[in-house]
Amino acid sequence: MLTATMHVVTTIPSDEPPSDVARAAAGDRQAFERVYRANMQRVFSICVRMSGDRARAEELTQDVFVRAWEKLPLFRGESAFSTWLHRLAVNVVLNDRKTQGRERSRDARGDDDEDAEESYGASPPPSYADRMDLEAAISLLPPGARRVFVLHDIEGYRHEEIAEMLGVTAGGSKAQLHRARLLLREALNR
Amino acid sequence: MTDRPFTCDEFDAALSDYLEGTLDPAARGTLESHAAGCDRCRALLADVSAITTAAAALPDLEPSRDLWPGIVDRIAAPVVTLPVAGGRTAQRSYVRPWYLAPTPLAAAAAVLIAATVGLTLLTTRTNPTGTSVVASNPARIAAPSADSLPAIPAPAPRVKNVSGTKPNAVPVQQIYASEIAELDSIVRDRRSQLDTGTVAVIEKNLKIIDAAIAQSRAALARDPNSGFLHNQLNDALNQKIALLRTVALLPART
Repeated sequence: MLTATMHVVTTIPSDEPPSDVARAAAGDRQAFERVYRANMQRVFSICVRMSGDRARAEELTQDVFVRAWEKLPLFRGESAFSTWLHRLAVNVVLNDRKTQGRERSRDARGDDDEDAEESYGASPPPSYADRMDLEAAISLLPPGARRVFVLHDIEGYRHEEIAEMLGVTAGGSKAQLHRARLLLREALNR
Repeated sequence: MTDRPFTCDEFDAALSDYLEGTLDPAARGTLESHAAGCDRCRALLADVSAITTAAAALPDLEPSRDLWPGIVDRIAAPVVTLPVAGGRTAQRSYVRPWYLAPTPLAAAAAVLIAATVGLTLLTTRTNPTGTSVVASNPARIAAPSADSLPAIPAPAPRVKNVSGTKPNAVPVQQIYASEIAELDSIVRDRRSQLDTGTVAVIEKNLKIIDAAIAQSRAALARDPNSGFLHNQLNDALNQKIALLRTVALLPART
């Protein structure tokens, strides 16, 4: 008898137990912590690479999961949860850039300014005097090129999706990607 | 595209599409022919290909600290009800769950559940044993405003050590009975709107819960001071309420 009630309630509409995502959507904080543990590194990675700032990325990661908690009841399962979460992370980072203007000064000289390419290639960071690794080189890309490179070459978004996220054209996204790859090549070959 | 060999500039311009796999076959051949005969462009192709491959394989990164405490602090913060124009109230961060179709029955169930949460909280606050309700997500059980569906998906409040034979148990049991009766009524009305397979699963689970409730009560009659049995009974009652709540809010079959 005592075990009879253990599997009830969770069997609607099928006999499958609800996932941690479903439990979290229903307000189960322990389930949400498991969701967090399972996805935290990936979300943090997106935040680091998109923002170029590890300390800020930790705050953004927290913002992403708070938003996820708030929005989980709206998750309809039309895409994989990880896809939904990663898109949410991208949006949080992009909104942070817009609302806080943290990159504004860098963007002003970096997004479309050819000088940024020169400075990128000309002044290696002190800790990478000989040869930069890819992670460091990405972090030093101009913000516009970095975002497109991260979204396309690391996260696997298509140019059309990136264009929608960033408010640019698909052609602009392609151009930024090409620019980013050439800048990375230059940095890595120095 | 063209049979004319690429220049290095044309190679550069076509490189992204080549790596994307979106270059037409003829142009691919022209680009590859150029790369085969041009040291500069062959090296560029190799390097950029290596970068894209390495980027796709970059490992995930680890934050320098555990970020969870900061998250749980924020999601555990209670919803603050703010006054807004027109005398209505607004809840910060309210979002309607995906499975809450805005039907009259759902709204009725929402009102009932909100009232139940309030009653249960009130009852357990006055519990002389000092035990309390543990709502796993206080942010989602805040009282709803009149014009919005409340945060229904919070699990049913867990009532501990307040079962039938405790000093204050009669009111609590009455509340359970009243809530279950009202939810039962809603669920009866809803059955015709639900898929027959779903109804069968509901019936099956309700029978299991009812059996557990009956057996717990019978055991308590023999051993009225067993805290374990009190908890089992309360768990079963809470599960029944949670099941009925879920059914009351299930979307109608399509």
